Amino acid sequence: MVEDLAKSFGGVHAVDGVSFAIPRGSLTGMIGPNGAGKSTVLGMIAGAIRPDRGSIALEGQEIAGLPSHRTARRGVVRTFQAASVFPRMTVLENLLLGVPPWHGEGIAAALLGRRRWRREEREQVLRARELLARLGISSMADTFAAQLSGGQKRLVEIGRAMMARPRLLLLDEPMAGVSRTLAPVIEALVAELREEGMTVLLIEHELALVERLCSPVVVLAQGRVLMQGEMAEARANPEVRRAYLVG
Amino acid sequence: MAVFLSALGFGVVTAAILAISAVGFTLQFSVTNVFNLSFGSVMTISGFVAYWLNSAGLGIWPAMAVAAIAGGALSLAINELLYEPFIRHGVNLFGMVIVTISVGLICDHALQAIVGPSFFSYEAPAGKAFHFADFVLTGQELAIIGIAVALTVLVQAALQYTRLGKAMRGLSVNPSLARACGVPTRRVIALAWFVSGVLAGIGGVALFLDISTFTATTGSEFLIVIIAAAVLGGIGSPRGAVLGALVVGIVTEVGAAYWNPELKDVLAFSVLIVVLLVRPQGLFSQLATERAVAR
Repeated sequence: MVEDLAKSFGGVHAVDGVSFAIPRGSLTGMIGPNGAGKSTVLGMIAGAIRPDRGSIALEGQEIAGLPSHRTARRGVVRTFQAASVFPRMTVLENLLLGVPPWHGEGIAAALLGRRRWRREEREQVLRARELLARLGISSMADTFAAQLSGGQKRLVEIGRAMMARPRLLLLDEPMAGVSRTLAPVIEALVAELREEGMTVLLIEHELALVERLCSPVVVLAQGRVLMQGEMAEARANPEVRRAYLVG
Repeated sequence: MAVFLSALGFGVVTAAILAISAVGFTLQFSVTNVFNLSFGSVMTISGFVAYWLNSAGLGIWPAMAVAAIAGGALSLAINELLYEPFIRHGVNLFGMVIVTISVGLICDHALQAIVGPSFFSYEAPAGKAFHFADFVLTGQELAIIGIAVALTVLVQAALQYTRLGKAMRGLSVNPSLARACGVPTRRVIALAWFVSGVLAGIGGVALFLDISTFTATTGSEFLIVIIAAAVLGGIGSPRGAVLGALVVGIVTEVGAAYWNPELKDVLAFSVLIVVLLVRPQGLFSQLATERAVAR
């Protein structure tokens, strides 16, 4: 899916010819020491960062270089390393904003297609409430997102991503900033998504977690792919060990 | 009592004009975080577009509609051609304020170079007078109030209930998250500038109708009162802007009736300062502390 992707920032090759595949329906892990280029790769897949060269194919369609609102509409949905929510909106509104393709987008559409739009909106609210129940935060539907804890924000963020029914879900360190009580909840949620057959790319630095959840894994170091395979292979690979020791 | 009621009538008309303009000013600010001090110039130029059409024989209401479109186009053009390059180069919020002041001054003086330093007025009948007890309003004034109510309700409803409105509210806080949700941020920002310009255009024509004589700098002079209304209500909140407009409009006109009309602006800002002492964030605030220019 991803081929020969490269990006430099001011002469530094952050990502230098990265190729790997995310098999459909897999929970692919991406690991590597700090500065390996993981977030840059994720940003390029999401369209937030424009690659210098290379190709990204989503189910055969080229998406490299598309602006991020377009990749989002194609079904590539991401979360951010720092849990990102709209603070001045309620939890429910945050989830509702996650849904492309935006039929009620224009004022004209909102006025003309009102009945259809209202029905869609009702369905979406229903789905959002179901998701909130599943995430265990039903009681917070009308709370402003700014008032949530780090872990709760993360749940809202993942819920927002799930609302879009993504074809590829990109999770950038979903455990970052999450309390120890909520971490297992989020881990269980990600495992459930895998069981349901959602295609996920997960960036994580805690290797034990990646080992429990992901197959296959992609190991990045210094902007290049060291290997792609199972976590057990990665652990046995001397190059990977060296990268972690050096990095 | 009669003096009070007639002043109240003037106050409501002033509030209507303020509300149209303050909503336009604050809507654009709430989406892009650019504190746009060339807003008054867009009002003035649109007002002159209506003046030229009006002089050519067009009725004032159709002229206002054309001026609204002209204001929208001008506002959009100013952003795309002048502000965008600065924003792309990473100019911060304060730097952008200076840029917008400069653009406003350039527009005002360019217009003055064209039209000269004289006074202008529209050819428009004030319409039949309507009496509500001691409250007297002309048909023209009633129309302005009606337009203000319709526009502010429309903007508020669009922001509250459409997905676009939600996108606008989200955009200024976290543009990259908005994009990740599939919001076409560039287009939404362009729309915000356009709508803001349309409201500036309508507000400008309404203002010129109300005060009857105007010059090439009238809009910019009035801008300071618009900002008082917007800040009073809590900058970034259209609902707040309407409330701020009512307070500022009524207080200044009632004050002018009993006191000195020259001191209207002093009154407006006295109210602003007192309110901000009690509620520094304004009546309805959305002002976030850490904000950057949205792009």
